[in-house]
Amino acid sequence: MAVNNELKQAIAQQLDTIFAVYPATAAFMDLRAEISGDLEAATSDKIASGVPTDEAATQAIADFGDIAGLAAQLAADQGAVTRAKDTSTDVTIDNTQPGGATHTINVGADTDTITIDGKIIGVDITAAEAATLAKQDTNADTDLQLPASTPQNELHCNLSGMTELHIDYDYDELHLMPGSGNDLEVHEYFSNFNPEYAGQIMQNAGVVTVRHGVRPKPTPRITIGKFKLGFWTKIVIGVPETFTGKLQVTNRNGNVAALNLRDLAAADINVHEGSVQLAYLASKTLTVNTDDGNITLQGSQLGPVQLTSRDGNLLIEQSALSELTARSEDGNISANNLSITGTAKLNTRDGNAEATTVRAHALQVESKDGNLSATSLTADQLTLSTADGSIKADQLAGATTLRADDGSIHASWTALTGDITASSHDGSLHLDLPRTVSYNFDLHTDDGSLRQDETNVQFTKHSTHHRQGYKGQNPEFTITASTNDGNLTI
Amino acid sequence: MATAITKDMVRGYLTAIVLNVLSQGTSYGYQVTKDINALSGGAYTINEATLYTVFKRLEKSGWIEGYWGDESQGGRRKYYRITAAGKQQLQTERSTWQLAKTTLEALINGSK
Repeated sequence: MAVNNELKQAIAQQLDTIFAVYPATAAFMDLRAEISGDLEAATSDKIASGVPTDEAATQAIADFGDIAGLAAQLAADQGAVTRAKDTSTDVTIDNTQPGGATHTINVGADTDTITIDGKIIGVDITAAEAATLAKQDTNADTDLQLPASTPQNELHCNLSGMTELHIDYDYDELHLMPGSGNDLEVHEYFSNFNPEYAGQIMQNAGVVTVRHGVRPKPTPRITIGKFKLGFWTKIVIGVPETFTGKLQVTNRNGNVAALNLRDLAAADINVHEGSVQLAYLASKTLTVNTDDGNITLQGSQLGPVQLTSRDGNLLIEQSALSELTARSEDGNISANNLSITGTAKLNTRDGNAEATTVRAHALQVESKDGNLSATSLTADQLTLSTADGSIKADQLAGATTLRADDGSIHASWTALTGDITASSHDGSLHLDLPRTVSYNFDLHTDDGSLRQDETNVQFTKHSTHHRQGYKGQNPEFTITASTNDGNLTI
Repeated sequence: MATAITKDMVRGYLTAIVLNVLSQGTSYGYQVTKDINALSGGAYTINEATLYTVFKRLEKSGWIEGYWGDESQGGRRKYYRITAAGKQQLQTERSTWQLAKTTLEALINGSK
């Protein structure tokens, strides 16, 4: 029996939410098509057995099992982009140690890797590149494994029954990814090793703490091109997939990258000076704090998320969250392809804020000095406000409040689903509504001109600086727009 | 009264089960879950997401192959068929099961 289009739509909508956070590559489209076909067959059966039409699709999807998990597993299998190796600008140093041992150090200019005696010790690699490195082991199965080179210090700890995992580092490059067993695995790599540098694992009352060892007095860490010279470390931590507790990461001066950690109860990351890159996380809550470093969050499914940076930029994309608060003082905020069930707040003081294809219950974008630019925002309540900057927003849907003190506002809506309030002191307002929609209006300008589409308009008040009335039949919502010195165009 | 079949009890045999079902005809995910349920007399229902991971594993081992069929309603549906290597694997799985069955019977019901 054929499943009608309405049901196909219902199924497609649910799958949309899950697959939106992943790239639309052939592998993901295939998985989605396969699941979709099976869901249609299941829905069809349910209807045939008497389940009401509006419940059949929902039940079939619930019966299916963890679809998001399948997509996440595919994402993990897909791993990272592989890059062609260009060895033409590699630097090779023959380093002779006291005592005569000679080590050949090769610095790969293109691939950001350093090898010592042929063994790769990656520096400055992203979490995705770590996944590629891991796959160079020819016996690797599809699970992510830790890099193949030999760390100077290896620690293991069984996490069953543990509720919290604290990772405490100081001046290090931290990489977190799923481990390959039931134990926590910590692999520490050092540019030069001294036993007192080795980290340790401590356990107390359900909390496992991994703490860094002694660090030498901060030596100048020189970065030449993409390379760090001087004392450097890389800490790779494999978190077992069975760990479902709270993860807390502290790293004072160094980057943190976490990839594909799922089923966490909470994740809390604190970095003073360093970037935080998170991809494919699934956790009940997420809090990230950096003073001086960018925060990137992508492809994740989370509950309430709080990202705060003083100087860094925030990039949040392709994720499904229950709540989002993203705050930066000096940095820019960029939010793309997000689905938020609750409230999303993007707040920057000096930076620009940009949002594209975001769906939320309530969405608030605010900048003090920067510009706001938005495309395709859907929410029950949309608020965009800036003090010194301008607002450019297209394809909005929802009750909207727009405020620009000194700047201009240029906005368009795809549908009118709530009241619109737009105000500016010194800037001009240009509001574009769908031609055929009906609305009440109240337009006011002190010194500027008023221009509007007057087809089907009835005025209740019409003076040079103030117009009130309604357009069309039975208008449900009201557009209130006012500017002091600027022009107003609807 | 017999206790229920738990997922733990069946986990080690999912390869054998899926190969058995596919050896009796090419099929697709949802249909395979129905067949498994029917074969078990209703005692065991496999979670379809779990079945997908089994398909992936069996395909990687070369025991089944997936292909896209044309659906009359326009969408495409993914089918799986057992391969020659898969038929051989099924034989191996059946022998292993025979051994397990006999050994466990003796261990649980046998007298010293």
